[in-house]
Amino acid sequence: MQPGSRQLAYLIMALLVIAASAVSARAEHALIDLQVIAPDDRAEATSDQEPPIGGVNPRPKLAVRAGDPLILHFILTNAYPHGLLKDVTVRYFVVRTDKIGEKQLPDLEGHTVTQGHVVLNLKPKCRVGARLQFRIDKPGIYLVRVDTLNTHSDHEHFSAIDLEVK
Amino acid sequence: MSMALAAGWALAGLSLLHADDLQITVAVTAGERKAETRQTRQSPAPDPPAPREVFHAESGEPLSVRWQVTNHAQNTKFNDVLVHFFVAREEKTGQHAVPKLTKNVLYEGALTMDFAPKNSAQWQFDLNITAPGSYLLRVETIGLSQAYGHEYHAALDLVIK
Repeated sequence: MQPGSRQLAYLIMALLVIAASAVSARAEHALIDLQVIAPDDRAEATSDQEPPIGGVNPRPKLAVRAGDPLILHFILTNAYPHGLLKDVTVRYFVVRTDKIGEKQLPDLEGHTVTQGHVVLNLKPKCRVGARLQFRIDKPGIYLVRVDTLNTHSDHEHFSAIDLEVK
Repeated sequence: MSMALAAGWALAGLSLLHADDLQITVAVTAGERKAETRQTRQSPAPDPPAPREVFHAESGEPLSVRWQVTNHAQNTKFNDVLVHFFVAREEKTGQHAVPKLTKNVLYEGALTMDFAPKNSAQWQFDLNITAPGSYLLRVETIGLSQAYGHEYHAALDLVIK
């Protein structure tokens, strides 16, 4: 195996294993596994859906220190079995909020700590994921969220974690 | 059919896939400044690679990265393509060797998708690098070489001061 490819192989295997186990265990359209990893702790969240606004599942919380190096890690697996979903957006963001468990999303334009999105065609069992470093310098409450947009259905899926930055 | 002819026949089939059938573009912006890759490269490549584009930025300067993969082939559908990308520290700007992704990986992502003719996937993300140094931003396909004889990639260097 060429140098540098072992880590890649592990990432690919992780995507495949997580996707296979997730698809067999639940019957949802988008399975989103989200983790925030801090130096001393981590939080994990699984899929929820809107409506209702803010979903129905309790949101995990993680306490971190301002300036801590943090990792956001998510994998989305398309569990929709009935064909291709075209031009779906999968986005993630970290944004300051007013309180823990806030249901309403704050204004994202220009206010995110970090954000990204991908537009792609989702076929059954396909996967998309990322692992990225970020840092929050100002104390406060922050929302980390991964969600889908434009899945051409009456609901969207998301996964979210609250960060309490001290 | 002789072994040599059979090998040539197989290679001829592979070479029907043109170098620009799957196009990858990568762009970095900071304010009004921008750098963008000029070509999609193949691995293995018949010729020595041209130098990569280099984007210079200050430590902590907000960057925006955008990449796109598009299938420009008229009759070829690429199934189950794994598109992998990363931002990782490299020892030297412009180095040929791809850095090992075991440490100093600021961002890594992947997706799987079928690319029918004209299909594309696009990914945009914020990037903020505080540690000075040279970083490789690379987008690549994985898994095409067995069927098509090569992989595709596009990359540029980020130099942070």
